[in-house]
Amino acid sequence: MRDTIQKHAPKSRRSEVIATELGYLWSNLLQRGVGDTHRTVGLCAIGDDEGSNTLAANLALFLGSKGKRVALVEASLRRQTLASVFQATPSPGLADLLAGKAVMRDVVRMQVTAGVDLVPAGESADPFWGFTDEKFRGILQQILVDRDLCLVDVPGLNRSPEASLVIRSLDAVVLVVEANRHRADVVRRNVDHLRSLGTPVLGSVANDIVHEVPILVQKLL
Amino acid sequence: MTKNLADELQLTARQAMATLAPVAQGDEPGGLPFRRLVAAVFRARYLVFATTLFGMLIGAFLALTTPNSYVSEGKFALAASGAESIGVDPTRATDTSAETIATTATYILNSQDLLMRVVDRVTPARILEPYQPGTGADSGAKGIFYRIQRDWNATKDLEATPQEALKRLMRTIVIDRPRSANVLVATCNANNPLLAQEILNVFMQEAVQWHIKQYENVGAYEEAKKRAEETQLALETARKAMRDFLERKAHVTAFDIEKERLQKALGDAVNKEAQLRSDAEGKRESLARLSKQLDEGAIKKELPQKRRADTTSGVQRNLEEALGRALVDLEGLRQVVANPERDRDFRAKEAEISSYRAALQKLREDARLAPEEEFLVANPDWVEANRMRTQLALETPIAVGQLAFAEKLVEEARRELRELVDLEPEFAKLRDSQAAAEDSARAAQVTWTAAQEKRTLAQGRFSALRDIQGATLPLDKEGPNRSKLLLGAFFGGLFFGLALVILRALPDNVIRTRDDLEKVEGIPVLGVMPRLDGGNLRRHVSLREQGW
Repeated sequence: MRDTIQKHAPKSRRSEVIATELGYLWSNLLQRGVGDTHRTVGLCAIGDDEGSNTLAANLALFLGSKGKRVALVEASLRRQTLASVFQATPSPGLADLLAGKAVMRDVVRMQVTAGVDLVPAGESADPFWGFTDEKFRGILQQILVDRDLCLVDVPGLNRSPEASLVIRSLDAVVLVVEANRHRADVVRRNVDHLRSLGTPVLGSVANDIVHEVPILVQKLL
Repeated sequence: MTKNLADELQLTARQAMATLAPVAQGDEPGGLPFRRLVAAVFRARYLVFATTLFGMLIGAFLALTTPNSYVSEGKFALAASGAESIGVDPTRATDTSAETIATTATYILNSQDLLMRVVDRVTPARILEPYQPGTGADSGAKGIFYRIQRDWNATKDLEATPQEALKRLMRTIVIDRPRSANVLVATCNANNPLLAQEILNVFMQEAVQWHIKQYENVGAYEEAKKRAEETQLALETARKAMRDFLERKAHVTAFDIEKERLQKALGDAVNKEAQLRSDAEGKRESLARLSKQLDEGAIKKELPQKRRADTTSGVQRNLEEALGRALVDLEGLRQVVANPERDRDFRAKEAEISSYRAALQKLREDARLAPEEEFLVANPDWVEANRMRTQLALETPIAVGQLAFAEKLVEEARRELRELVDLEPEFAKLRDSQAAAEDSARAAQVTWTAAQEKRTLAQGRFSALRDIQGATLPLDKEGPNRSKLLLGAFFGGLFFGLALVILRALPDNVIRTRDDLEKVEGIPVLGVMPRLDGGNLRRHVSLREQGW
């Protein structure tokens, strides 16, 4: 999934499918304590451009449309995408906040869509160093004060060394795996890595699944 | 309980439940699940399509450019005997068994030398004749088709070398021997039916000659000939030595017969000598005994004898003669006289006869009554003894002489026999040598005769290979079957593509589906996001509807 649901007509097949799958995802997350014990949930991928940021945006849109107050934090400072998705100003953002160049009020784009507040990545000369202290955890706690859930777009595990630092500050993490991209052993190794960080790994989301077999053949099988 | 601990517990529980769940069919370790395989095929459908298309292109190319092939067939039968079955050496029977000949024939007929003879006869230019379909005046698609085939199969004149022709024949001529039959099947493949028949025809002719030649061992023939000549010479030498021995030394014609004759002659001579010796001794003894008896008077010379005096014997004899004549006359008268009783002469003659009889009666009575007188008469024993002595006196020297001669003969026979017996060892040696030479000569002659027969048969073009079916003229092309070629190329490309897909899919463990992700231990799948294109969304919805 590369597109957000807001790009499609609400009654279109694509919107319906995305909403359905997001509903399945949210129900599974609820079962695992998201919104209750886990309020800061990260969506991370193994590499870049696997759709974890899109999935976070769509989930935020989905939850916002259902009346939840959701904060969407773009922690992948090396690739900024969410500001353009929501047509918000890209900076100042999280990087500025971590660097102390901005305050919380300046970086939060309130109500970019219904129920969703966005913290874009901002401009950062050193995306790694900003996560090395406990400042990011404090920022998240501040964001959660008047919101139900905070979804964090985590940078790629194999692309950004700060991914582990980001995950360490979260309540839980969900691994987004793009289909037809990684071997099973690579995924297994990254899962082990995630588990070693101590943050609960709630599960995975298979993204951009392609069904090669035609419907008729599927029925025969 | 912290959230991390709760998550750990959940994970542990999930893993425990996962171990209890049976492995889904097709998900067994070590295999390629059918669903994955099907998905891989559809995923690589463009590759399969490309290989299939490529195969069809190749098939089309082959169908266009492959020339027609025509197969001529000929058959050889392996006869029970042939030139090669008559071995020069009769003791080497294994070399000439029918099975050996049949097995060897296949290899002999597959030799390059034989094919080279065919090349020489048919000529490389003819063998490598390019494929020229059509008449040259064809138009339309057929004309284009024929032109392509002619252009593609055109050969340069420089390529028509014997080596190239030999290579062609090595590919096109095939010798096959069906099991459990003494038959060799020869086939020739060419792009022209007449050419196929011509090549195979020449091949079959040359094959028979070649087959004979392989068994024509010139060395063995010459060796047999030389051996026969040598043994014959040795035999002549032995015979000459024997002949010289008999003529010049033994002076006999036949040693054994002569020896037997001498032995018999010696035996006869000894017997004769013994007989003569006995005869001479007997005569000598008889002569001495008779002489003693006669000289000492043991046998009287004369003996006294009493007898009546004979005074009427002369008269009586005269009367008897007269009586005889009278009886004759009387009988003559009886024949001529009609009534003898009344005839006077007849009665007178009867009276004369009666007087003669009476006179004779009287004379006989007088002689009987005459007085006896004593006389000395010669003793017959003495006379006989004397005659015997005379005879023995004559015969004894003769017998002694005969005995001496017989003794000489015996001595002579003994000497001759002794001389012959003394030569017997030398004769036996010569006889054995001659017998050995005769045996060798006879064996060599048998071998030589066999070699000559073999050569005669070979010169007569006779082989165990007998063609029971000459090179046939192919009435229909053997290939190519262009429809099958296209179809085969289609399926070949298809299966090649599928094989590639399977080969690629076997080691493939890339996460492609939710199932793949679920197999990664310790991480449940919370959601699935399909690619947002129309077909994929439809399939996704369909899967959801099927309870995926």
